[in-house]
Order: sequence, then structure tokens, then C-alpha cells
Amino acid sequence: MFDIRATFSKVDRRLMAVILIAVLFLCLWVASTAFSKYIVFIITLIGVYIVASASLNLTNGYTGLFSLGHAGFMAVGAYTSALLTFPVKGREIFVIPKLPMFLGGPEAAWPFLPALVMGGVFAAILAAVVGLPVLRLRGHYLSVASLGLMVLVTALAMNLRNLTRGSIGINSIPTYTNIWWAYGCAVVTVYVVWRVVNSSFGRAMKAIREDEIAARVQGINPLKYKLLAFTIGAFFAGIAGGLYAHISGAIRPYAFSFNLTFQIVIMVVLGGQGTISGPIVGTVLVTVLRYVLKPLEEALGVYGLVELIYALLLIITMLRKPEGIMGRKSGGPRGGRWVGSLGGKKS
Amino acid sequence: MLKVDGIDVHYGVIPAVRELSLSVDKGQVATLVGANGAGKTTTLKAIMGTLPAKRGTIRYKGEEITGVPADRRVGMGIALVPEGRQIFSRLTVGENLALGAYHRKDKEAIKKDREWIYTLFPVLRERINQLAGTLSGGEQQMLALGRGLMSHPELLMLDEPSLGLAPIVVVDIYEVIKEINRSGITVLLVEQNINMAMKISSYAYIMETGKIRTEGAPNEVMKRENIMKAYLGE
Repeated sequence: MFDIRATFSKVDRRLMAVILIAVLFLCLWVASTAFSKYIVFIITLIGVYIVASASLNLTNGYTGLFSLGHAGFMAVGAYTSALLTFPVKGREIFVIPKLPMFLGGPEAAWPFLPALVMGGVFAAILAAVVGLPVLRLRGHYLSVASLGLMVLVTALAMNLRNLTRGSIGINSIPTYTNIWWAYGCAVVTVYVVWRVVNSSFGRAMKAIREDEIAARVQGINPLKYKLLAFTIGAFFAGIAGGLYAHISGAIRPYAFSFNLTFQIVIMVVLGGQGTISGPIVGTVLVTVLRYVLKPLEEALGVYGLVELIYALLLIITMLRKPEGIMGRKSGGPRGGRWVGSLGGKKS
Repeated sequence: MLKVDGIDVHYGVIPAVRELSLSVDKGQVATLVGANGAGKTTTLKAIMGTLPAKRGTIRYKGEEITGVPADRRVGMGIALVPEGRQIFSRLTVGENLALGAYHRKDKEAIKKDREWIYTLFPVLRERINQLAGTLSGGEQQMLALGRGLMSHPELLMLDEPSLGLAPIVVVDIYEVIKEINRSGITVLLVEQNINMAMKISSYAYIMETGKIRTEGAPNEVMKRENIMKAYLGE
């Protein structure tokens, strides 16, 4: 992406982006008419996951906050959107609480878009509140604390039975999410991330990632930007969660646990942290792999094969190309042996 | 311009600087020399605000700044070019420079400063889109200096700008430091390279184990301090 930046002027890039999006939607339209329902479902799911991975990239890739709490924010978005949109008629049968007056009253069910946004807003609020103490932590401590947040959210979803129906989960959620919703949101997410990281905000975030003290000495207040990145990331995680709830039609607390969190982290790391295209490539790869290997797994009777291959892929990537598939070779001291191959003079 | 009065600075429980006082006048090049571990870098960090002063006061342009956080001190006109440069190696040269001007809104003036920096260090203009980590050591020091200047400082603190550089590059860097000072920026220099530092300074402090040992005009200090050899191993 940086190379493109160097060769194309601003206008060219904008034009290219518009053309790219047009081509994308054309392909999606062709796919949605030509392919079976199952394949269209997988393509849609990829769109949903892109929303999640692109937003995680903002914290993990660009700001250097290795968060493992993304699934927690997705859960918040999923439950919020599911509860807000659940049809009034079905609420009694499925023991779903009616909406309180300030959310429209017992006879109301929200349309999809505002419910989706509300899910994002709730996730963002949670991130802002939790972020203030948690973002003072660095490195591994932050990862563990964010993982703790995810565990907390799933535990709440398990135990707030009046609201979430506990471990049974909520089903018969209206399946609003289609290919257009998924990719509409994905395009918006990627665009927002791209705009943020190419603004002065983004420069501050990258500076914090490189060296927090040095960033502070440039006049940057690290906590402010870390909180900003964490909150924006959580907002889109909430959106992804909402989309997920309305594509699968059923959500359970355990759907938003370790498995999901690590899957999204793998997408970002595999594709290339801190690049725009990385998470997209990683998401496509991981999701396609899952659905290609699933039948194989079942045929062979080796359950867990998919996870095994994910793990192997991750190890190989870390060994051979630690910056990820789309990652740019780092010039920094952490880039290790890649420095020499850049042809730059060494200090 | 800067008046440090009896500060104590600790690293955790270990005291690194004790009852240190120094002052820097406007337009001066003041230098702080001393052996390894004397507390020079610690002093600069305390003035910048990345380490808190446990006791004493730091006044800048007559205003007490002891409790002001580092990121706000930048806006007041204090800049630090840290030891070992600490440039953002995975960002481009251009991005590094832009980050130096982070707190500023005056676009025109930023542009002017950028041009000035390019005349000081023409190589930076050539390498604007290159990742900072791929620069040579001397170029990285130039970038660090340029980044510091982008904040439009009134007081520029330089921590060992000659560290690890070839002698010829050191001479270049010192020429530029003189030029920076001539433009009206007050400089507080920390060095182990005493000869270079003394040559361009108008006032010198010799530090030893967390305290100022002696101070004065550089040639006087040099004369007075025959023992300097003993202390600094020169």
C-alpha cells in the first residue's frame, strides 16, 4: 500500500478505489446470482469477518495494542442488535424481554441499520470505559487484560439469563444480513480505517506503536490515541457482531469466545498487521480454508484438523515472513534479517 | 530561559540525580558533560518531563513546569532529541518529520520550518519516502534533529548527538548545531565528546555521580579542571 502511495497521486488513488469498489460489487452481484446459496453464504461471511479483522488491525496493527478482546465487543454488538430487532410477536414465545420505554417500548422492534449501529455504539462505550484503566498496561499485560474482558462479556452473557437466555442463546433472529449489508459494512470499515491511519491521528498511532516515550516527546498524548483506536476498533467489532447475529440467526455466549477471538487475530497476523490489504487477504484465506477443509475433516473423521492447519500456517508465517503475507518488510531493528535485503545503508 | 533548582530524580528507588541546579540563558549553547552514569540523560528527561522530579522545581521562561506532562511541554517550546536518536524506524522520513510538528496547527509556518530543515540536511529531502530505519546512522541523527526542529522549539535539548557516528559526520552535525543556535534557538547539549561540546558552548556544567561538580565558561572549566582527566578519563 505504501508503494502504491509513492507511485500514484492522491486523485489517482481515489479513482482507483472507486473503480475497485465498483468491480467488487459487480463481482458480488455475479456471485450472488451464479453460485449456490451455500457459497453465497460463505462469501457473505467473509464480508462480515473483514469488518472484524480490519477493525482489529487498527488497534493491533497500527497502534501496537495487541488486543485479544475483539470477540467480546462482537458479542456486545450481536446481543444488542438481536435484542433490538427481535420481532414483537416472537418475544413471548422465545422469552425475549420486551423493549423498555426509552428504547421504543414493548410494541417496538428496531429496523436493522439503527440496531446495528447501536450495537457498535454499546461496544464502543464499553471499550472507552474499560480502556481507560486497561490501556495503561503495555504489551502482554494488555493482551491478557483484553482477553479477560472477553471472558467477562461471555460470562455475563451466560448469566444475565433474563436478557440473553444464558447458554441456550437466542435463536430465530431475523436474518437481515445479506451479501450487500456485509460488503457495504466491510467497505465502510476499510475506508474508515484507511482514512484514520492516513491522517495525523494515524501518524500519532503509528508513532505510539514504534516508541511510546518518543511519541510523548513529540507532544502526543499516548492514552488519548490508544483510547481512540481501541474505541473505533470496538465500534466496528460491534457492527461485525451484529452482522454475524443476523446471518447465523442464532447466537450463544460461546460463539464469542476464544475460538472467534483467535481466529480474527490469526486473520490479521497472517495477512499482515498494519497494512490495509493484509486483514482482507487473511480473512479470505482463513475463511475459505475453513470451508474447504471442513468436508475433508468430516470425511477423514479427524476433528480439529482445521485448527491444526491454522496453527501450522501461523507458525510457518512467523518463521518465513513475520510481517504477514501483505506486510512490508520492516526497516526497523525488529525487522532482523530483512534489513539487509532492502539495500539501504546500514548504520 | 530555563532554571532548574535543586531537583532529585529517581529511577524507581535508585536516585540518579541529587539536588541538581542549573540554568540556561536565552540564545546560549550550554553543555552538560560527565562520565557514563553521571545523570546527564536523566537530567534532560526530567526537564522534558518523561521522568518526574521528586524534589525541587523546574522553571521555563519564568513559569514553573515541574508538574506539566511531557506532551504539553513540547507545545511550550521545549524539544528533546533523545540519545540513540529514537526515530520511528518503520515510518517514512516524511512521517517522522510530520510527527515532530504534531502539536502545531500553523500550516504555513510548518512548511517554512520543513524547508529550512531541508536546507540544513538536504539528504532528508532526497529520502522523504524512505523508511527511517533504512537510513545510515548519520542520516538518522539528522532526521532526529530535524524532527526536533519541526516542533519549532525555543529550547532544544540534544542528548549525545555524536554518539556512534564517524568523526567527519560529527563535524557536520556540530556545524548544523551552530547554525541552529545562530537562528535564535537556545541549545542544551549533553555530550561525552568534550572537545566538540566545549568548542561550541558558552557555558559548561560538569556532572559527576548525580551532581554538578563544577560550572563556568568552557575554557575556564577546562583549565580549572586538570583533574578532569581523572574524572572523565580523557
